[in-house]
Amino acid sequence: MNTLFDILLFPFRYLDPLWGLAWISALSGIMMILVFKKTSNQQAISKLRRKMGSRALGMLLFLESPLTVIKLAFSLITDNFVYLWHLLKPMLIITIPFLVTAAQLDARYSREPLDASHPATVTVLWKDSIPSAGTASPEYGVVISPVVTIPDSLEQSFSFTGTGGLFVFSEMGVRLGTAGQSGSIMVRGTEKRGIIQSLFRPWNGVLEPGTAGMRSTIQETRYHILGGRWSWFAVFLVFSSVWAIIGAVVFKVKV
Amino acid sequence: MNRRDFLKNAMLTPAALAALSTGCGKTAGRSGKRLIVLGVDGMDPNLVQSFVEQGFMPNTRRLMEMGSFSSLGTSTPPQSPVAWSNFITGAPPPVHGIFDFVHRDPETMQPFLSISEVSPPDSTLDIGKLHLPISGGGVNLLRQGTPFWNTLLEKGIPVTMIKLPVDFPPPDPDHNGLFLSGLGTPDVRGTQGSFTFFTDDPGSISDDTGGGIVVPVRDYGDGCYTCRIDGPANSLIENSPTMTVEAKVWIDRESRAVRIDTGDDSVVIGERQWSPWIRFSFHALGPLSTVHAIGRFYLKEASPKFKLYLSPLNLDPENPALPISSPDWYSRDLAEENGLFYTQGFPADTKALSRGIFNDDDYLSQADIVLEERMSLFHSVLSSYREGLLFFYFTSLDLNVHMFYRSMDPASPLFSSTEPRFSGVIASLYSRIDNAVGEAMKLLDDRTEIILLSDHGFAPFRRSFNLNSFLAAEGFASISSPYQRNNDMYACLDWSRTGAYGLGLNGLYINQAGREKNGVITLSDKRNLMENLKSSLEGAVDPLTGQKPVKHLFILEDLYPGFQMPPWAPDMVVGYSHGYRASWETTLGAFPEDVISDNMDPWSGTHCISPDVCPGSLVSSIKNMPESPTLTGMGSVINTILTEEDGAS
Repeated sequence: MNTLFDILLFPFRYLDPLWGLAWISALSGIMMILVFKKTSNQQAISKLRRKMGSRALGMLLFLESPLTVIKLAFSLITDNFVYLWHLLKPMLIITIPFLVTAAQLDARYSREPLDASHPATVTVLWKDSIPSAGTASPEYGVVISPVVTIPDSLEQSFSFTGTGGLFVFSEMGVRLGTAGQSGSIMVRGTEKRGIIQSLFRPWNGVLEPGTAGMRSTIQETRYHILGGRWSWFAVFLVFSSVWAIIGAVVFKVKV
Repeated sequence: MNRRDFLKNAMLTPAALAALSTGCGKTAGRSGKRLIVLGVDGMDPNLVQSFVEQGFMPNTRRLMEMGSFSSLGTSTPPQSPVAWSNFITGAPPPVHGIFDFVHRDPETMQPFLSISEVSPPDSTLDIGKLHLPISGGGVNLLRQGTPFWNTLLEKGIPVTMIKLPVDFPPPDPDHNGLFLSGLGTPDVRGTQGSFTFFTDDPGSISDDTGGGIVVPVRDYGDGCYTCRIDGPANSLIENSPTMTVEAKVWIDRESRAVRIDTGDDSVVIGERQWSPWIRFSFHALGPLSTVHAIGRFYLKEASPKFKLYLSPLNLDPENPALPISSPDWYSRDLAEENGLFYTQGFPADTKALSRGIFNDDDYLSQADIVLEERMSLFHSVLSSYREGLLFFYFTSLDLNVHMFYRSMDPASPLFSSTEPRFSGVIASLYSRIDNAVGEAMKLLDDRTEIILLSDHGFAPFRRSFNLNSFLAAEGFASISSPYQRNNDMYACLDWSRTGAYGLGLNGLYINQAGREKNGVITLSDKRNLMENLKSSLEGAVDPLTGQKPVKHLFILEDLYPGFQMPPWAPDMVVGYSHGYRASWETTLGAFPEDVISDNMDPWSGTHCISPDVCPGSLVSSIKNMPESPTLTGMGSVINTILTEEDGAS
């Protein structure tokens, strides 16, 4: 899944993160509205909306007859449930790509890229014992501190930073310990937690036998829009929604 | 395209988001003159000349050849707050009200910092132990007078003043100017910079609180030191208790490193390593009122003794508890673009070096961080600069020359104990400032000029002159409690028999009846006393060197005739000779035994002397600069350069 998204998002990885996120959100919004069109009963929705409109008009026309208004209101409520039923299937179908996309975007756009001013500290929690020699060797990135061992809590910590580039975080990996006993910190590890969990929290992937967990302090990023500091999810939600509405108008999708 | 069409189109493209976020749509561009003013505190004309000749400053040499170079008349006294206030207002101290770093209230005889003050709220709502402010209160800039840039702003010329001294808090954002406060900006504790040093070394623990505090800590066997970090006082609670946060420091003596856990943050550093900026949150009223601060740790030693330094807690530029920029979003934007940075006015921790918490290497590593941050800020501001006035202030040269003048002064009492490898520190600093000049010169074109100026030069500080001790020895002050001579604030004085006293770095005050709390000198006797003091001080001789420590004693009513002096103004300013300065004890009203002694503090360079001994520097791309220019007149020169195209000069 990660590789698939690496390929899908390849065109955006060299853009400024805000621009990249904005374009991906826009495309996602349009894609979602098209999926909605394909998976929903457009004819039934259209008919239902007309019916609901006529019931609302009827309520306005027969204001002097309370019984008629109550009947129409009840029908309108019933129609709403039917409308929600029509939405259920496409929404369920959309939810899957939405969550997968959101998880992948979280991995790519939620954190500050690591550089000299944004180092991260990784703490590895060992299961039974700590490797005798505490050394960390990065596959990507630079370890900028000695390894601190805390015997009582079976923890080892070190600070490291990236070697530059906006997307370095998706590739970092560090080995800790010795040849005989070691743990690998793959920032997108999938070995232990399984595919679903790693999709939702790609940052916390851990590790090999012998380790109990890890935590890191990679800073969250904020996007500057209209004087505000938006999280990546706010940018994604607002832009994908706006473009879904535009898409609905352009492609004549009944929502 | 009308506004509606623009908005419609803007909505249709994600790119509009980025455009809005970067401010492209805010203002229409206008072609106007550009003037970049680099304010380099303490850049000495003689050293500039020397380093240019030695090839350390090639860009400055080019600028000199292109335009002009001269010394720049400084203020009396040549202290940074006074000098930069002269520059800002184009007027002398009686107009802007800044006479020294330190003033005193004559009614209480309490000293206070001259640049800004914190005033308590006028009224509060008291609920139990809670004191909620209702009206009034805040931080006030004590500098008076009208800044020269108001003329530019009135003409619609953009003004950007970065790290401008004596401008805290910055002006209200009711104009198109961008301001970021510099010298005078406090840390979150309200001091000019107060470090915290955690240690289990009994030899490092002292009661001295000058510049910071030493906090004893202990490892109870689990490898963890619990470090309590003091923040600001909580004025919302009765008796204003100090707000604190806790840091857990886990030590690994084998790898000589620590992991520092603060709240949700965690960082690992080894010996002689600096942490990145760490954020601290002090909750005054739960989450309803929080003071945000930033600080950097430095592990001086992990073993055998634990020595961990924490920088003064700076105001967080992304969320400052006090106004440090105008508009208020400006500091946040700069921080988000360049990373967090020192916001306090005196970023280099000279006190840590003076007190022996830092050695020379420790100090230089911290000073290097300060300069790198400032250079990064400069690069960022320069890249977004389009037109009008850009003033950018560098403080590193001043602070570092203060600390390392001894390395190039064979007559300094500390010269022999300073390692020869530090002899090139000052040249290297000038060279790095020259890099900034080079960066600015890349923008030179037919509508752009550059001015490089300083507020004062430098001289060695070899001998400390205990002004108050001199006054006592000569009968101008009377000591009634000799055992309290070394206590601050005139604890030993008999005020009824004291005619004059010294306070601050250059101030000399008459104990005037009706003005001072215990004043005895009548107005009719004052003039005569000042004349006597002048002849006595200017005639004093250092028995060790045979030199006169005081070159000039300036009587302010003669220096600024016709001006009404405010009550906090000194009556006289002591202009020390080359090699001399007021002792540290003098600045806070102590009376050591010796009148003159060797200065054994690493703070070995000074400019708080006679203004003719340490003028500033002026290098410019403009050939026709005024003859005998002064810092006071430079605001007017800047206005003329930027407005002459509009025919307004």
